[in-house]
Amino acid sequence: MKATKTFGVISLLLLVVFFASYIFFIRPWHMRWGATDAEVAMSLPGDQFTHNPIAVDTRAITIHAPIAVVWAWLVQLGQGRGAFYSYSWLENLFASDMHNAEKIVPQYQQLKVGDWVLMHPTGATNPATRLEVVAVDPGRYFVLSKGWGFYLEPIDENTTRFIVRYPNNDDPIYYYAVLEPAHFIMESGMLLGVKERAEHTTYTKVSDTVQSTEGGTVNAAP
Amino acid sequence: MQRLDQSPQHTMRYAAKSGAKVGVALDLGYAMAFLAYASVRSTLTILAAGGMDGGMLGTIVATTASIAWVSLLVAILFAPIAALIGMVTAVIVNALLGRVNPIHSATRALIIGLVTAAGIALLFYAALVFGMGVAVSPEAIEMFAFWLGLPTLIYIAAGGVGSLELNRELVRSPAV
Repeated sequence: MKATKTFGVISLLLLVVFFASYIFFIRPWHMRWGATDAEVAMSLPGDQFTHNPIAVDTRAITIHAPIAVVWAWLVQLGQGRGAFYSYSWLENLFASDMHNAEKIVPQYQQLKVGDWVLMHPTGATNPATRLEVVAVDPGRYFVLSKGWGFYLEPIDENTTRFIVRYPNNDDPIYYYAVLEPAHFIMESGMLLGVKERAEHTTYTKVSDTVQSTEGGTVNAAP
Repeated sequence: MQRLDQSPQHTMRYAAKSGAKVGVALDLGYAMAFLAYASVRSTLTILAAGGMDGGMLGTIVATTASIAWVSLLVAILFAPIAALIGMVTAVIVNALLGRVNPIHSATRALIIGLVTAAGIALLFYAALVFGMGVAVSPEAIEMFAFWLGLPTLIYIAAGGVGSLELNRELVRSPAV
C-alpha cells in the first residue's frame, strides 16, 4: 500500500516536472525552430491576414536546392494533392487519408487565390477542415486563410531558405493543450519532408525553368 | 494483493476498485506504448533527414516531448472512461464468477472474463454503428485500428486475466 502511494507521488512529481520543462524550455525553443532572430522579427505578407493572434510560430530550414525546385514540392501541399510531407502515419490515425507525394506532379503545380487546401478528406464539404489560399506569389510564397504562410527566400542559386509562419487564433485551451504541440510535430516534419525531397530532386536548368527528372512539371523560377 | 473480505458486498467493492485501477493502468500503458512507438519512428525520420537549422538532438527531444504531451493529455482525458469500463466489467465478471463458476475452475473463469469483455465491446460497437451511424471505411482503417481495434483486443485480454485473478482471490477467500 505504501509502495503504491510512493509510486503515485513520484509519478505525479515527474508529470509536473515534465509539463513545467515543456512550458518553460521546450515550447519557447520549438516556437521558433530553426529560425533566426531576424526571421522571427520580420514582417511577412501573411501577417496582414490575422489580427491579435494568441500565439505565432516562425520556423525555418535551409534547403540545398534551387528555389524553383523547393517551390515545385511546396506548391503541391494539401490532402488529396501531395499531402504535407510530414508524419502521415500520425495524420492517418485521424482518418486523414494522407499519402505524401514522392515526385513532382504536374497537375498540382498551380495554386491561385481562392483555391482550397484540404487538411482532411472532409474538407471538400466541411469548411473547418480546409484552408483557402488568400495570397500567392508563384515561386516565392503562398498564404492560407488564418495567415498560415509558406515563404521561400533564395540564399544563392542552389540554396533556399524555407520559412513558415503560423499565427493562431483558436480557442486558447484547445490551442495550448493540443494544437500547439501537435502543430510543432507536424510542421517541423513538413519542413524536413520538403527539404529531403527537394535535395534529392535531380533537375536540369533550362533557361529560367527547372525540369525535374521525372519529366514532370517545369516550374517557373522567380 | 489485498485479501478479500468474507461478504459479497466487500467482494463486489474490491472487484469494482480493482477493475477501475486496471482500466486506468491500461489507458496509461497504451499511451506509453504509443509514445514509445511514435518517438522511435519520428526519431528515425529526423535522423534520416540529416542537418537542420533547429539542431538534430533538440528536434528529437522537442518532438518526443510534444508527442508525450499530447499522448499524456489524451490518456488523462480518457482515464475516467477507462476506469468506468474497467469497473463495470469487473463487477459483471465478479457476479458471473459467483453464479456460474461455483467450483472456481480457472478455465471457466478465463472464458467468463473473455466473453464478458467481448460482449461489452460488441455492445459498444453496436452503439457506435447503429446508434451513431459510424461506418468503417478503408481510408479510416488505421484510425479505427488505433482508437478501437487494438484497445478492444487489450481490453478483452485484460478481461480474461482479470477474471482469472478474481477467481484466484475467491479461491483464497471465498465470499459467504
